[in-house]
Amino acid sequence: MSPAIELHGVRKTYGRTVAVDDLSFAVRPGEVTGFVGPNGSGKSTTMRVVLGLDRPDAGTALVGGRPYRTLDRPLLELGALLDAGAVHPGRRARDHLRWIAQSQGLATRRVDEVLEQVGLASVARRRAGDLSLGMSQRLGLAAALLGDPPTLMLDEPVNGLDPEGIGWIRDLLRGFAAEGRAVLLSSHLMSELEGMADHLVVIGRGRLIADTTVDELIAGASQAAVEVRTARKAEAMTALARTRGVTVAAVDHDLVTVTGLGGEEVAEVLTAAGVPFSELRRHRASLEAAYMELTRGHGDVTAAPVGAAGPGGDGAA
Amino acid sequence: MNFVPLLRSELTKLLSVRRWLVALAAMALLTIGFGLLSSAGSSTDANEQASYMVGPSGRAVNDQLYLVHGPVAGDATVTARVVRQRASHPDAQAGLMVRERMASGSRYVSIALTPGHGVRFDSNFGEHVRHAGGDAPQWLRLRRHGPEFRGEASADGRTWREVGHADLPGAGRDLQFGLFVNSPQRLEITRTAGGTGVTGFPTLGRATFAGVRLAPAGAGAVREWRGQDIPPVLPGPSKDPRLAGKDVEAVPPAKRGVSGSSAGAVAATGGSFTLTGSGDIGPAEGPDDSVQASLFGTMFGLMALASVAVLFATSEYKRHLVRTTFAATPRRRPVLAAKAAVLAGTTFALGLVTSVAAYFASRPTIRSSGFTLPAYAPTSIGQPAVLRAIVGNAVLLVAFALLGLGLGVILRRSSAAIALVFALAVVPLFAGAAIPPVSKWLMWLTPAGGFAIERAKPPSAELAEPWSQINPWLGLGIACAYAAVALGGAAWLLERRDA
Repeated sequence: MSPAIELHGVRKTYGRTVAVDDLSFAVRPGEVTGFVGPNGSGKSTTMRVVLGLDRPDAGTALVGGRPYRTLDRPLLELGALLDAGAVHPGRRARDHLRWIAQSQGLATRRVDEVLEQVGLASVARRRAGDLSLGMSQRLGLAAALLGDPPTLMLDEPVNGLDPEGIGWIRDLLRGFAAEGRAVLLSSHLMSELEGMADHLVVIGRGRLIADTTVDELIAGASQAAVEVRTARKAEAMTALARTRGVTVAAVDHDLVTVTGLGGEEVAEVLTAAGVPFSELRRHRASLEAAYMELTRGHGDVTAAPVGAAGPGGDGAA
Repeated sequence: MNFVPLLRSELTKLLSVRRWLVALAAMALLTIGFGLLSSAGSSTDANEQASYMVGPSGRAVNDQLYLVHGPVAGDATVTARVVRQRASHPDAQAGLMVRERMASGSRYVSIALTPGHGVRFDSNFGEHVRHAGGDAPQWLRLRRHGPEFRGEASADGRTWREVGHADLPGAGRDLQFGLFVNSPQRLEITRTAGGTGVTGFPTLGRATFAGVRLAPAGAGAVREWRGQDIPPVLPGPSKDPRLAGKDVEAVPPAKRGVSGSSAGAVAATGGSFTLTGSGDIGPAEGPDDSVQASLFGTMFGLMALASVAVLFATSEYKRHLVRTTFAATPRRRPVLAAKAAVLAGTTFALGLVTSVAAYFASRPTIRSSGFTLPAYAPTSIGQPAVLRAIVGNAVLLVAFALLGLGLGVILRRSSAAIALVFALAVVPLFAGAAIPPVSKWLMWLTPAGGFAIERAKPPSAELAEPWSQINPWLGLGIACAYAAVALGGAAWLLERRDA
């Protein structure tokens, strides 16, 4: 089975700015793929290229194995939400969905179904410009769901949503993936993806930094770190740091992290030094920390000017 | 890709923004309202200061010529050869005529040679005009059979071809047969800011006839024919300054015709006659067009329409709605085609209803402004020229709407696109009226010339309105060409630009 979305060596420049450079990755059915990078790192550009809105300078983007522009009823293949504000403010929410449905040859009944599904049935006759930010996001999602597509692609969908809304989207997307469908979900905050994404594609300055599963990423960042809880923190740090190649960091008033030693070795050293400890366990990094770890050394990860190594602007959002 | 879903989708878009519907309604109201104002503002005193004859159908006519004639009883044929004709005016006539009476406005049938337009057959002031090629020397023949008359021409007097035929129902046994010559005035038109001045200079037609025969023998005698001016001569020339505003200013029709015809004459030598004469025969209605006055509000309605047409395109760009559009329908040119089709269909339907409404709504005002018989023939929606003006006006609105759509896609900015439509469609009308030397050029070079289609009468240089100078189909064609170029540019750019 071919990937739901695949990119091969995509490059896109705007004038002198490289927004996306030699980007390749695939989005697979049955899982939620998080697409992560700081603001201006090229996520939205990548999504526009997938939708055939922007023409790449090099490379190809395929949806279900075909270029998006060759699809006859594309919303039945891929539902996308790029910008919840991309509506005519004077058009009623229901009319906005109605013209989209008609363009795909879908019955108007389907419009009412998705309005119900996203919880907008009661404001269907309100003008799109009068909807709150959260309602606009739901309207954008409704448009993406219209064609009941096997793949969803959402750009920062939780922006502007309250916690309840975020939970709702999480459940929606998890359910979607559980049905064997594919989801590509972008965010500039790794924390937003915690508990939502199975797979991660991390980009910075338009380049691929990591293409991995959430579990692998956390495991990599947590490697060989041990947490020790002790009331005599200073003594413990001195004793542990005596061994070559060991790094000790204070995390809290009674907590230190040790890298370079296994759990048993840490226990040995502390016992030998006569330092008591109340807790000893393998450290598990948060997704956010793993992300910070990953992007460390990539410096400024936003878009860079062509041929310039210096700090880039965030010209390509 | 199936085009029908695209059409439905774009139609829903067009009709689901309330502000646009309000603007479309405003277009209709502005068009009808300003049409009424224009009809009330244009008046004519042509019927009070009559300077024309009244023809057999009750309409104003010119009936000026020099006739050498005599009574002929029953069926007969008159034949003559026009040996030569002075090129006094392209429409000068030298030929044969049968009249019921000698009074002006009588029924007649004629066939004549003209310097500019070959052989011309005519009856009753333009009822049966037919033209055929030919120049001097030219044989002409006019045959009566009961109420029926046939005009024929021949280059050699042996092979004849029919140019035209007409009936004079109920014509009596005795009719006046004869030779005639006339020549219309030469007009000099001066355009000033907001008006025109028309000066007429008489021209004198002159032609020599030979081989004049009347058959059968006993029908009459050519040698007893006498020359006579129709009508009695008035002095000329006439000065006819027209102080017209930019709205329709009615002027007395045909003043130039009556005054200024000079006395005709005949000289018979051997079998040949040389006639001189001045004047014109034909309908004498002025160039002022009451149909155009009814549709005058279109240029105001156009502004409301242009904003909708432009916004139909630019609203896609203002908040990146176009990304939603092209995500749903990635093939961009069909999307533009669907937009154009939906806008054109809606505009045509609304424009047609509006034009018909404006026409009928202003009829009472038009009549009370003096556009009545005999000076002005009544118009009816069934007349081809009136129908052309009304349907053409709807097509003109379509052309302007598509121009707005194309410019909206190209410029992607509402204010710039609306301003450009205004600059192309309306500004030339005022510029042309204010700067007379360039007015005709402006009509040729800008879509504003399309307003010519609102006239139900032929083009006339005598009016102040710039659009009255050019052919209606040409003007409409120019407007359509602008729309086509704008749409073509839009289609070209759409494929090349990122959405």
